[in-house]
Amino acid sequence: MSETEENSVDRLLEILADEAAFGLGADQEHLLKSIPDDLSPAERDEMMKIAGLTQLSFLKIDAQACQEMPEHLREKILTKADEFFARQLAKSNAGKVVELNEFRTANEAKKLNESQQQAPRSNINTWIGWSVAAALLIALVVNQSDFRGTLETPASSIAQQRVELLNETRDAIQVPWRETADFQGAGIDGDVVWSNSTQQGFLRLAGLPANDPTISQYQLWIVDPDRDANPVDGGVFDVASNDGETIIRIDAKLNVKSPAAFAVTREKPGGVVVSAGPLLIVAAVKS
Amino acid sequence: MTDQSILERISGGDKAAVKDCLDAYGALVWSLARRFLGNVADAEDAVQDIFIAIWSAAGQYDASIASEITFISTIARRRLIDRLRKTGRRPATESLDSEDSAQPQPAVASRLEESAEVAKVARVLESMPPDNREILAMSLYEGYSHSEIAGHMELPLGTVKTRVRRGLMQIREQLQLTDELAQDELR
Repeated sequence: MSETEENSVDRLLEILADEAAFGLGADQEHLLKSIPDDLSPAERDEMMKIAGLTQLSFLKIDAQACQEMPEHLREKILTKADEFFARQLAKSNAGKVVELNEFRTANEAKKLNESQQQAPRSNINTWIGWSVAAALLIALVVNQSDFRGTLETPASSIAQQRVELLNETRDAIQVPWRETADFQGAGIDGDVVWSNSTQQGFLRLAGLPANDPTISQYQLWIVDPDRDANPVDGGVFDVASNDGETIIRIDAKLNVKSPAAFAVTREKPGGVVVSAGPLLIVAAVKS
Repeated sequence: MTDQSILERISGGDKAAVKDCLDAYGALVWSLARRFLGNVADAEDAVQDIFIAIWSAAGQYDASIASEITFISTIARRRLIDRLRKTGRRPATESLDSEDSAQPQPAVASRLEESAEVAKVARVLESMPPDNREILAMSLYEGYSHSEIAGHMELPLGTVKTRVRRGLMQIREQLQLTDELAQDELR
């Protein structure tokens, strides 16, 4: 390693140590953008993990500080857990914003796992057909469960959370939607915000026609060629109105490593395991 | 009985695992938050945020990479830092010391005793000069800013930053070293 490279690594470690100790200011966030791409999220998290372990070690020394959580706080958290699970399990209704965050029961998860392990490759259809910017053509093979979108009443908190993710997460990307050859003239506006380190993201959409969820639903796909040829199912969602903006939380059910694009299709109610497209809108990530 | 970890059960949608998670880690997260934020009201808000974050991230937990306690403490730390940066370390509205009339929670201490990683870090801390250890404790455990520590210890700000960085890097190196030694022994 050259002296310059060593200095660069030392500086990087210093920034990560500062982050783990007290977070980073805007000036240091900027410096983190220069972190080499080949540094994995796990490596980037290592210093935070060490700081967390050190915090635990001090707690171990300070045994008197180990206190039971107050009962009223425990009750509050259990109530929040009920809300959290209910939100995850709620069914889609028209006129609401959808949150793609289905929380499966243990049994469903087990069945899904088994069916995925047993599914022969021959059942996987190739899903071709999108071009963006530089006539990118990717074969999309879908081998995913039919995770369902769940409802969340429109709330400013989602918009707020989107802004927070964008502003406060160092690796958050913002990618605008583009219409495709199959879906021109709708005047789509909006973008995708996504963070690899947190595996969180949001769709912001305006101009996508309202759907009747008894007839069809929109479905999100995350294209991640580094991970697999199979795009990750982002879940189904509804657009309640032709007017205004819809913000949807993404909860990718598989770990996304390096998204190349986000795409939306229109499918039968509940979505599909294998999509034949066409893609309606695409947000392509610049490499 | 199941061999799955609590986080794996939460990820699988087992709602009963939420209670188990609170039983296992509630006091631990609460104790960390109280000490780090120095304010009971903020700690209560933070602990709620932390558990929601833990449930949301449960699907990303990989037992081959980290223990549950490490995974949870990392999430807790990120959330506590976020809160502290937003709100600052506000004066305690209730004395934490007065709460210490409550009995210490032995299960937390016991859980910490069980963690080999915590034990390794504790050993590195014990080997540090007391001043450096105090600076690390004020920064990482008690949530004081670098400038607050500099004022308290009557040290230049740059010195405090350097000692915190060096302390973390020393712990990192020692953990890597012990991991390498353990792997060598397995060969």
